[in-house]
Amino acid sequence: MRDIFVAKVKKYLTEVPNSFFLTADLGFGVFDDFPTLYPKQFFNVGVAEQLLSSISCGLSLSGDKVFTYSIGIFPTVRCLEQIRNDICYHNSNVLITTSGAGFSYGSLGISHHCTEDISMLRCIPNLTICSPASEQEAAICIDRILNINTPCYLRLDKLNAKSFISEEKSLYGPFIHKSSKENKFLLLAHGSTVQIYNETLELYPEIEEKVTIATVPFLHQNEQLHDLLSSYKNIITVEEHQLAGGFGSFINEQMNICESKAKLRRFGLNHFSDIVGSQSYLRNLYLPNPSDIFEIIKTTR
Amino acid sequence: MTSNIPSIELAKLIRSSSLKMTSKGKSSHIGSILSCADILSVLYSKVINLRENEIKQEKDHFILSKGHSAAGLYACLAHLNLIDKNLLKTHYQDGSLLSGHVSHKFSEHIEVSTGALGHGFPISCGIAFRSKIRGNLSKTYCLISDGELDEGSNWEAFLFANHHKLNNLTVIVDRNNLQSITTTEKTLSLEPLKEKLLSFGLNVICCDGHDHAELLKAFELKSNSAKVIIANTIKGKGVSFMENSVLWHYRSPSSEDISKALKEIS
Repeated sequence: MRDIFVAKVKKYLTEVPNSFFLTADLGFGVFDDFPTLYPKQFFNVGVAEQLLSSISCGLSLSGDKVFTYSIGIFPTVRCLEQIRNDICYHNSNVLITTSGAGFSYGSLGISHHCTEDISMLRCIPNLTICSPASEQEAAICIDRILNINTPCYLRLDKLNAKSFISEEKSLYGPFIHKSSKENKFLLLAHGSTVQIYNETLELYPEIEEKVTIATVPFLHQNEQLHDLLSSYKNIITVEEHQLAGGFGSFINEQMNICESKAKLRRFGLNHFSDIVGSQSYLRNLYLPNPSDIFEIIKTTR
Repeated sequence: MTSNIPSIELAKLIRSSSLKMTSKGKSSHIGSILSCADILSVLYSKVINLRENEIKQEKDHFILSKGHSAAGLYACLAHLNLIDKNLLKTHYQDGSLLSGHVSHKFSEHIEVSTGALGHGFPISCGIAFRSKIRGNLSKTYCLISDGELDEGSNWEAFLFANHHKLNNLTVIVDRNNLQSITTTEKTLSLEPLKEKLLSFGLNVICCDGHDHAELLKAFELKSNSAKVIIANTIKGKGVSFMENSVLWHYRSPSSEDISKALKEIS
């Protein structure tokens, strides 16, 4: 997903010379040719995320688009007040990007676990949050996000989901990855955790007619999302993020707004992970695996 | 550059209006406002170019990083007819956009809202950096408080301003030596401030922050690097019973205080 992001950004920087790309000293090996290609657009501001965010507000005061980049929670939680007061209150044309959502950097310890950012950022007005699930979804979402001239936050997972979008319900999602004839189970994800559902179907094809799998890459209220939430009896959300205030909470709020009568089961984290490991390892450790999802579907009437 | 009002007169108007506003609104920070009234008046009457022209391409920028001195800036803009004077009566009142900390939501002449300290200067770096890259000649001025230098974000910005040789950026430190509870030196020592800033590669000038001729000279001094003016000031300047008193960081003047203060100002 990061490679797609870099390719899209390069195209944008070339086509829109008034734009800027700032990194807080991360992206070694990723942006190597940027200083040569974009000497008046690409800058490394140093290991200084507060500066990164405030400078992006200053650079964009006249409307120019500014990209800020780092990994994990560094470009968001470290500089939360700068995002709130500077970028979002001034409704700046800034796209904040993290490469390393969830447990992407799982082995590096909790300082690098990006598992609270959505909760902390979701309540800030003017900010659009986006977590693509796959390379295909990243390409679609980044194209859309580049056309938004207000604050956006793009979370890129290291893991890629292997499913493909079969139907786009709205510009910002939900995206249907697999639809069913029976409206019994709606399996929702925000980011690459949709892969857990994909694997469930591969292992247990007998539930195929019962489940619809969809991603909601943009935490963006819309009618199509409400229609979907209102059409199912059971909804499951899985997120590589704290349960409090995260994706499942967003869905719960949307269900409340559209008066969905579905039963919602939310899966995610409710503690720090002292244990380290790869993204796959920690995902398997803390989130339901395909047999857990199958068991819920099998035992729910 | 923008006004025919002499800077001394403008400073008096800023002081008297701010006293009335903070008293009517029962708001804080009159000491901090009086401290920087002369800096604001010299900047706005003699230094800042508020209109785009063919040479500069863009107007100059002013960011009030010590956002708690908002009433002073609002008064300054009102007396230069850049905002409606009647708006001053709404400061700190229910339903007003003229918040106690500076807001950009009601006038094109205020570009940035601040209030949390340590934001305005890094934003100013972004504005100045853009001007420099674009090759336009506009200048960026940022007024910060000395207590605000406790915030680490400012020191990130000093590194940046020097690294990119932002010679179109002037930071004015309102050096009144007092912060909200006690002196800056008893709180988190800043001295030797000039030497610290010099060691960052900045062009540092010290002056009397109430002497308009000295301030103007400091502003006009050409510089190859980012400029920091340490303006030595007195918190509460102009009102004898408010001067150098930490009490007036938070206390709002009563009607009796106002009568005495306005007599001294005039």
